[in-house]
Amino acid sequence: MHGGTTTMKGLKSRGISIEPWLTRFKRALARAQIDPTAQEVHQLRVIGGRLRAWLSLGHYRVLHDDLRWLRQSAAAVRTLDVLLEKWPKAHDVTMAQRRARALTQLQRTLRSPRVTGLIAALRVLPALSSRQAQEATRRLARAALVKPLEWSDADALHAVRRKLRRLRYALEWQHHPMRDLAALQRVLGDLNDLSTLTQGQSNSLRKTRKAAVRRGSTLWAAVQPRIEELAQ
Amino acid sequence: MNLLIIRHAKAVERRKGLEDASRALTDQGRQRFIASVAGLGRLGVKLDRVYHSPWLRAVQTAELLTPLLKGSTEVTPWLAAPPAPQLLELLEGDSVSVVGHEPWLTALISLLLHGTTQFGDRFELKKGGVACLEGQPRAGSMRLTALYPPRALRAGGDDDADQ
Repeated sequence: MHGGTTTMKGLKSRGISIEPWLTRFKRALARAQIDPTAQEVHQLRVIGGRLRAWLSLGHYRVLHDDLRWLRQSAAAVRTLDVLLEKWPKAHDVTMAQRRARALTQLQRTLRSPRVTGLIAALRVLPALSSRQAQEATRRLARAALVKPLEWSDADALHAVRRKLRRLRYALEWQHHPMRDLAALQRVLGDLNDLSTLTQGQSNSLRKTRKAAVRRGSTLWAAVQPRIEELAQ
Repeated sequence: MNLLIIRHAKAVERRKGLEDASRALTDQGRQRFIASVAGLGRLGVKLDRVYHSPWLRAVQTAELLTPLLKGSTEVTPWLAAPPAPQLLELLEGDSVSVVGHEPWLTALISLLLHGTTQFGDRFELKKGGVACLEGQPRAGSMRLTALYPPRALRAGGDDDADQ
């Protein structure tokens, strides 16, 4: 991956086909039907997010709700997986049972005609033009610029993380990734995960959070000027 | 429920080597349907939900409807097939649109009005045309309130024949 200066001129001029990620999506759907691991459930949501980013680049309104519905269906499993993996101290004996129930529900959803229709619709969408993609990227960059960034506000951070994720995916679709953007997104994701723990936070979790805020602030300072360039 | 049954706008002709599901709207079809959507807007149409077939011409037609949308869209393969109970069970909202294909849409109209699909050929729904029904989305439980050929919805119209 390379970073450096990211401008509209640098974004490549060629048609952007949905096909590569649609193929991965179909594989992820198939794996999710057969006792998926936490990573496989996560991948299903990640790939869904990338497909939504492609739709945004093409200025589509349709099919977003279908992908959102699918990602939300996997969210219950994902939340439990995060708790089970990252913070074993939060684990209790019913957590695995809750995951099993959430997974059953997810698998039922994945077998629905809506998913069949979604795949069929995505498959026939024509490749995007670079002009479309560049206009959309400019819009996403403007949306991602938040001044100032409130590190104590979990909801605000979550909203920024989602906007940065959309921008990052848009740049990656155009084969022009921005260094540090992925790292910043991960830090914001960690802060979001920390905020989902509803029990009182232990000292170690508070220290973890403080370190994440410091790291996030550094990354934000690094990416902000580059996002401002894209927003021009 | 107010149900708008909409046939997709004019698409490229069938040809060898082009999969039917991949046929896109023509530029003329797109522009004309944009004008029809403006006409629906002038009639005060606001949609809670748009359901559409996964075939490209229906996806693109549904996309052009979204300026009238205050809710969400949903793709369904039941709109790329003869009308089935599963389609009727799916529909929810007060003001709903379905975008699909002939001859299945006129079969759907017949089913909703008369409880049977056998009178579908008595209705004509041109490309970009809109049928407005009212009532519960169950077989034989709706009434037809309007049937708009595409030209009727467009401002000004033109002399080109609709297909």
